[in-house]
Amino acid sequence: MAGPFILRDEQTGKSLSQSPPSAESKLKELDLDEEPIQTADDTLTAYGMYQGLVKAWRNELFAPDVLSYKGDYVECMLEVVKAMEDSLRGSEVPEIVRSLHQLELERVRYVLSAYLRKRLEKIEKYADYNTVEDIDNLSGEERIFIREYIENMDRLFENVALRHMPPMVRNLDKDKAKVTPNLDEFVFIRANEDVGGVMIDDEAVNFDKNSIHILRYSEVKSVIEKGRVDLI
Amino acid sequence: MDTNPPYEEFVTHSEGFGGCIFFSLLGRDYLLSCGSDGDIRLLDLSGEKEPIDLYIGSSHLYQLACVSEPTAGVLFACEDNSLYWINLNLNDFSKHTRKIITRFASAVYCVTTDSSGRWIAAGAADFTIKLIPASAILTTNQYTCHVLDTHSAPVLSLSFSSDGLILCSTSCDGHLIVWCTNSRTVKHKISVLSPKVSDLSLSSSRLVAALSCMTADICFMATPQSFSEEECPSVPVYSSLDYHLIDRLVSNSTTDSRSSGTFHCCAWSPDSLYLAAGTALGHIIIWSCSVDDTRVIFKRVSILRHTLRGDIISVAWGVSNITGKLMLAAFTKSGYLILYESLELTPCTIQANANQLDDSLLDGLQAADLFDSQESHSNIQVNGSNINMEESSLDSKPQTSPTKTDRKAAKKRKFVPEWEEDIAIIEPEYSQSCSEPVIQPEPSLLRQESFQPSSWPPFSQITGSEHVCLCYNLVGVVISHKAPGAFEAESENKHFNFLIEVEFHDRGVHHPLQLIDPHWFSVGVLTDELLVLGGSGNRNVKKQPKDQCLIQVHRFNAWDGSKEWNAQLPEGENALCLAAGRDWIAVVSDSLILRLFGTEGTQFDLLKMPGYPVSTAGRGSRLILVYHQNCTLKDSQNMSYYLLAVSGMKLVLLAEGTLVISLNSELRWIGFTSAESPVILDSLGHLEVGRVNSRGVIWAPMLDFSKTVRKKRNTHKLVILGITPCLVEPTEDEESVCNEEIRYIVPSHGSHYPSLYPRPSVQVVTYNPPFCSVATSGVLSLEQRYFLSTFCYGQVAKQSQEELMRLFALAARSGSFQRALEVGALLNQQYKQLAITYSSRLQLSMLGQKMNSLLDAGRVEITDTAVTIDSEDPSFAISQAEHELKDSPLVPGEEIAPFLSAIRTNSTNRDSNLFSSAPANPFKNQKAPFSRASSIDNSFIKSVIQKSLGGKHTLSNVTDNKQQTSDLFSKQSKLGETRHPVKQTEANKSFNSVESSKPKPNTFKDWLEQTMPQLEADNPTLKKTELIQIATKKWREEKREIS
Amino acid sequence: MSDSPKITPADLDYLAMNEVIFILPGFSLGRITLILGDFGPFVPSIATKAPLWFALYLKERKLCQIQVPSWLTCEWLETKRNEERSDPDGPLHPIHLHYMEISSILLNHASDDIPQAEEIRTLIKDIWDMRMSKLRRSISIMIKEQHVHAQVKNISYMELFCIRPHLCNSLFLIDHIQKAS
Repeated sequence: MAGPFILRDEQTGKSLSQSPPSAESKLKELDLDEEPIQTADDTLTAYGMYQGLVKAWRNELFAPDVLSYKGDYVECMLEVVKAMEDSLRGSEVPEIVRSLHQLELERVRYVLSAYLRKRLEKIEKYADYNTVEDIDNLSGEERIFIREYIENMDRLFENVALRHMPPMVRNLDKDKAKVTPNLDEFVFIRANEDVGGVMIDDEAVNFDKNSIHILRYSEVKSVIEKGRVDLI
Repeated sequence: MDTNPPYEEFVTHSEGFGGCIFFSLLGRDYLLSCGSDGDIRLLDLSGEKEPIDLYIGSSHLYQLACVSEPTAGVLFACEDNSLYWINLNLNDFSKHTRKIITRFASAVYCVTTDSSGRWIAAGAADFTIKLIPASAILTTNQYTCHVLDTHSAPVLSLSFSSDGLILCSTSCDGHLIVWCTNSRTVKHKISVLSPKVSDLSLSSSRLVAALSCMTADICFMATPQSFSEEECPSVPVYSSLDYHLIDRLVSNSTTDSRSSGTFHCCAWSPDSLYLAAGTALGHIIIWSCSVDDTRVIFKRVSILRHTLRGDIISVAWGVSNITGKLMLAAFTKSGYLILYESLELTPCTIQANANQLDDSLLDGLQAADLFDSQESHSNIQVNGSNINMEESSLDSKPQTSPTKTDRKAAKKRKFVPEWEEDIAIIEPEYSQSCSEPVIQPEPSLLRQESFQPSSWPPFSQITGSEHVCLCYNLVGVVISHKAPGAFEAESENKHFNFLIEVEFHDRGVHHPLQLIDPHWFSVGVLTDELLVLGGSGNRNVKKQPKDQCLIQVHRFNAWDGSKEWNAQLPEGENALCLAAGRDWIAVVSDSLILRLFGTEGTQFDLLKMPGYPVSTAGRGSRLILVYHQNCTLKDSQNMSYYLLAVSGMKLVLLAEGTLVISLNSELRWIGFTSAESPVILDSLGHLEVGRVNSRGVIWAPMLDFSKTVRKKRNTHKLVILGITPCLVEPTEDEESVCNEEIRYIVPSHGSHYPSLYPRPSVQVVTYNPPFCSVATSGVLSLEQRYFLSTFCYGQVAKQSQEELMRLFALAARSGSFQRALEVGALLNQQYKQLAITYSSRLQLSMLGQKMNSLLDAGRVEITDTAVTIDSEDPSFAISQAEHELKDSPLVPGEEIAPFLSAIRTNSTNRDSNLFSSAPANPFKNQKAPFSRASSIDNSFIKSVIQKSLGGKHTLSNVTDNKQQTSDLFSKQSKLGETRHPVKQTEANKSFNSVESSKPKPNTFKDWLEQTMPQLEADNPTLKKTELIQIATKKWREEKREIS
Repeated sequence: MSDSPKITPADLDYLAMNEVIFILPGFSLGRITLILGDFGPFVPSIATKAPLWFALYLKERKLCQIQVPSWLTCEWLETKRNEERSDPDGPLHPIHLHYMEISSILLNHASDDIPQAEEIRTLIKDIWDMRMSKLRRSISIMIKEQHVHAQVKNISYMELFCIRPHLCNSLFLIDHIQKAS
């Protein structure tokens, strides 16, 4: 089957790959590597932290449920931002350098807040659901938030509506009302490394490094959590 | 005959090859011209003669041909390998349709049609000629295109005979080939030009050999002869019947034939009475030709001189429809089109010259020809036996009677020579005196014209081009272009208002300027303090007698309110080039005078130079001036230079001599390094730097652009912006030896000069002196490194000594001990000690002993400033190096008069501030200039991260001050070190002001600061120097504990 | 089922702005350290690397001239377009993953630094149209045949953004219905 989407042949279970002949070399030539690696040790530089945060944000954007909290990145970037701001305030630098650093700080702050905001949105949406599962994915503050949120929401419903209802229907059945995230929705992923043995509909599929796939979220949830694939 | 008949000049194209052709359509005459800017312009000769753009293109056009059937159109040969045709739309010339007739494998050099309009022939640089039926223009079907590929070099020109049966072609391989059109076979091959060259641009003297056919039963072919060693420029004429040389036409008598220059082109007039040829010096020589049954005479009829306009590369004849007179047009290499609308020429007839030997005839004769002339017929006869076709005709000896074979051969020709068998040939008396060959002076190169360095192009300030770059250097760009809408077409004076646009690379220096330029400035120079412009007024207006050259200077840092001043040169002088340095401006005019002005306008000094100026440049307090002193030689321009210093507003001659550029090249750029040594670049891409000492300047080749720059085609056209100290700090891994770099820009693809919009990116290269046997390109050998370090830092500096040590080590290790000894002799005292210890380490006792004896000889002079090779403390080393640099001469091996050295130290301090802030002035940007250091540096970010990660992880590259160790010295540091306290506190202060925040004291300086009070408290009695010694010992211990 | 788009084009722009391009600065500045890494030193007229957001900031203040990346030239884009055109049923060819964002940013803000800007606009549009048509065709096949897994190569972020709602929703609905039945 020709076309950009390389579909899995149901019978043979192998994915048909019709790659253009020099794709890999062309990729290299184009220098399409998403992350220009500045130092050898990726995760421990500021840049590595930033990239990690951006990835975490992207994953949160596309994942239906709340992923584990990447506290390391968040705290580190917060520190860096704070420290930069302090030093900028203090020192005498030329206008252009100051505005440069400020622009960058704005960018970093944007990712930070977008990440946290997206998580909060999901938490709020799936508040009842999250009380049962995935509480490990939340940070300490989020847990406090969710608890208070649920309390407040309950109190709200109680005060506004339920109190005035007939006693038989006074209780709110959380189970029926809860909103669950749709874990079966289809997502695009990119594999960061060679991943093997992902089960899709009872068949094991291998992902090559840097390949892009579309499949159900539930099947790759575990691999995402491990960091071996990313949502795009 | 010597004064020019009335003519008109038009400026139509930019510099380069091109062509012109007359064309008449519906009773109107037009003159079309094409040029290297890719445009075709049309002049309507019956109306107002204003060049109209017929076609605007981008690739160089080489030749035009016109067709009137099937539709009126123009064929043109283009550099983009195609032969195009456009139709002539009489209502609106600019609307046309373009069609590609055929394509070649490389640039098409010539195109022509035959007079019956059946064939089109085009020749290209891929050695082929294509013969195309003219009907192919309008059809879209396939047509047969015949390819003739006998030539072995690019085809230069083509010509059809009037009946279209014969096609002649010339090419760079030196042959003229005659083809038969119908059968497309070679009829004959004549070797005309020598030597064989491989491309149009390489043909000697930039020659285009052109070919003409006469319209008669007999065809003649005239080709300008290329410049060979023995001959003077001439146009040989061959007969098409039996291809022998009829005559060799020259412009003048043999004594001053040089003055006309090589012939570049020739053309027959439509009635075949005249042959016009254009020369390299701007002359058009016209001969008239008359034929009767028996002989052919050529007589020189007229010389039209246009010496100012450059080489004439194309001539064309036409007949005016209105007046019926002959018209002649010539196209010059500098883009001018010269038109003679009605040319009055008197043809020579055979009878008119009977019994007479005019002076003019004598002029046209070669000495050998006189041998065969009879008293009664003083004309040149067809005589193949006496004139060699290949070699100079001067070698032939007089003959008393023709041989039998000659006569037989002669009888076979159509016209029979005059003499019969029994008539004796009487030699004229004066032939004896002419039997000695006239001594011919060596042919020489054309003198280079004056130019302003870093500007382009020198002569193209013409209507065709939009912008002209007056100056493009390290400070900024100065461009002159036509102001839109400022065109006032009055009846007599056509004024063009020009706009000068100045843009600085570093916006912090000054904001961009735009100046209206009513004077049409033609030269300019820009420094970071002033802009100097010089120009002589409107060029295409008829010469106004009172035109005076104006020098206008704009100052950027004026604090007294006078931003601008003007100076007018005396009448008749024209500014050719400008130079500016610190506090002074130099103006070179064509009356051989250099004037020195102060920046605020006072005139200070004058200098008359011995020859016509070529170029000038200045920096700081130095000025170099290049001029033609003697005539040019066969292979070199033979220019001389003056190296002057400006001190106390007076010029002082430092050195003079012959300018050292490569043979067969021209000067392309001249300037100075940051240490004010002169630098020249020639057109072959060789860069030479001069070392100045009291006796003069010696030049050393430092870089060959043709080897470093990949685009070999354009090496002679790259524009150097300047030479600056390296601003890109080398990383710790690189061992860079050079502290200077050359910035240049390359021309854009396909054009001769860099494009201005968008601005080209600047390339950077450093010196690469051509030392022998460099192992791999790009890696400097040790000897090169030593040479460069002495060049950049001085012979005594630490870097040079280190390089010498490396050379010593290499020589010692490889067993050439004598070489090691020689190298070791150059080391200074304590490096010699190091060398001794090194050689003892390698157990080379002999070498050690010899070095020791050298050491003892020089032991008396122990300098105070012995360096502590304390490799763990960079501040010592750096401050030491600073100290040394101050003492050492800036340019090695120099002995300069004392007052000049004072000037130089000032100038380096000044130069190092090239990119720092200048005093505030109202014209500058309001923003403060950017400083070079940023206070938030690498270590800070990394330390923050370290903290935030709880210090658990170690960061990979936390190297702030990498120890400057070389393994050679680390073990030697214990031995032979004399520790002298250097004034630390000053050094500390200078460094601390740069770095603002350091979290931990991980350098010695900071640690010292912290512990100094404690030490002082502990040891109140000790002096400071001893305290520092104690402190260093303590620091060592601490470091050892930590690691 | 997801209704609202999860990511916005502004976010895509943000991601694209991290790209490093070459500029010709009009000022001089020493080495600076950003979170993204070290840049500089900036010397007038010498090509230096800078992140795209910084380059745009400088461009607005007329302090630099942007050098187009090598893939944003007419020749390269023409070959790309011909490749895509010659292969109407084949897979997508490699292209810069942020090509739409970066090209639109540069063409809007720095078109004077891009030679032949108009042609590049049309070329990018052509390439976009061809790639999207290929994708659409492939998507409709995938939906019709109710695949649950596929691999895509060389898809750029903007294209993903455009097809994601349609494809993911449709696949989910089909899957859902199949599971229910």
